[in-house]
Amino acid sequence: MPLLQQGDPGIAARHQPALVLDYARSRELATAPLLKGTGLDDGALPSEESQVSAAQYLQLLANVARGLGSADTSFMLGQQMLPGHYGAVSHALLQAQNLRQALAILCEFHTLLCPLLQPRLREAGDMHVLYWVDAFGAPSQLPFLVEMHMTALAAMCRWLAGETLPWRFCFNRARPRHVEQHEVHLGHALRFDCQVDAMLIDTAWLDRPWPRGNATAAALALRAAALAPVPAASLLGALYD
Amino acid sequence: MLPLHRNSLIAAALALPLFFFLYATFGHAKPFAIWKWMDIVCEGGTAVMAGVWFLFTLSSRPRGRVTSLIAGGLCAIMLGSWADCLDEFFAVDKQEVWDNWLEALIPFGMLVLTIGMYYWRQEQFRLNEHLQKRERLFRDHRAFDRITQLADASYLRTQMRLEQERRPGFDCALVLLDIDSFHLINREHGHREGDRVLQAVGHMLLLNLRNDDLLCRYAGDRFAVLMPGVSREDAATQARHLCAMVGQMRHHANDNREIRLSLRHACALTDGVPEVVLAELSREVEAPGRGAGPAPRAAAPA
Repeated sequence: MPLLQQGDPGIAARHQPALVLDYARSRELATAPLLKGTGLDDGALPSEESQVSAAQYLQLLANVARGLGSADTSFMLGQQMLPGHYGAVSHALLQAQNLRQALAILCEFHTLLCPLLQPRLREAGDMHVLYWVDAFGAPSQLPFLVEMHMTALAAMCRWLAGETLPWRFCFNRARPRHVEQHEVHLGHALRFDCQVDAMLIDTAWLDRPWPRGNATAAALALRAAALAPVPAASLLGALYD
Repeated sequence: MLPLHRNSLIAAALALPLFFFLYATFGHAKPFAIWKWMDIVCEGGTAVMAGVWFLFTLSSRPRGRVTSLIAGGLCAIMLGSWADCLDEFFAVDKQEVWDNWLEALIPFGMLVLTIGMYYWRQEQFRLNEHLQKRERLFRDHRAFDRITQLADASYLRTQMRLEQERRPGFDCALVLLDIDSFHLINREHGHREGDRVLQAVGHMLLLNLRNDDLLCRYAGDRFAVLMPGVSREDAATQARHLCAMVGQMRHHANDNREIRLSLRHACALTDGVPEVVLAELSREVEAPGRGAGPAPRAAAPA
């Protein structure tokens, strides 16, 4: 499968872009300026086959962020991003037995679940570190994307684990003015001015069973997800490997 | 708002060419050599600016006495300045007085505008009452959140700083309130319902505050109340009351299912750097087993 670049269509419009549009509409944003440069039309729900490129999805996010002019946009979009409604892989996440399995699904199906940033899981002593790496080269939007993706994972884990997991967050940026959003949506273990954007957690948390977990259902959903078409990885991500 | 004022806009738009034709018909054109550019720029500029203010006013206000007076005054200033400017291009006989009357629209417009400003001031006092408990020592419309119509954390920090400067050494309490399991409401009922819950809780809190208090939306589902002149103990009592009131609410989702709400709280005095006070309080409100809500499960891994 050829690797994707920013301009290549590869993101199903009915997945993440539809969620973003729905959020913007719930905030009563005018649709016309919102869709500018996104290749999407004004229909209620994008069609089954319709795909957008990473550049268009990034443009949509930029339009929404500018239209709302609110510091919580990235966090609110993150709250609903995972497990999402992206077919079998979302079901698999929903049935994940523990954090280890959820992270494995996230990393394997990242082109479906979080196309813009690629999660990379590394073990470091008694810690696990999840790095978020720019998949398509969008440096100006990176802080927004990182807030969105970290919130997505932290919020999904809190929901599925039934408790707040003690993630620690590192940001490759200076301390922002709207740090209260990070506190409320992510917690207080925040570090700014780091070299990377990463989430850290003690390995002990990876195998704690999750109350909603269901091994059979997760295996079935994963089998279905493996059969379904998956978008190609990004060129930038492949270069990183 | 502009379509509401269609007639005023059409009248103003017709008056501008009408004035031009009046001058072009009854006056005679001055030769280019004697045009006074300074006067043209000043008078024309005044007309353009007054026109812009006229449009700003109409586009931002519903109809009513204050709108009519302010917009009418600005429109008269615009037309008077336009007449004054046309004077630079066309010479009108000294015996004629109609052009003087047209130019007299400027002082007349100023008078009307002043009367409008007087009533606008009264209107503003009334609107301030509506904003009571939502704003205090200064105004910044950009700080207001779209959902709850409450100001944000940066507005709160500025207020804390101003309060300290205004009355140093005076007790000023700060309470943070957090909705229990708000993320589950978002998951189970959707974020639109979550927004409605935030609005409902915001209203409930506003109804139970003193007139001097300031309610802000700190971030997400966390609210902050600034209570000037209140000791820590009294603030804690107040906070418990607020939690109890929200606990008594019967919030119904769009599908009529009842959503039970409860709040956690933490309070402190605002003596210190606002960022530090807020961060500590925010950490405290998150700590397990606080307030009236169900205690979160143990936080240590097995």
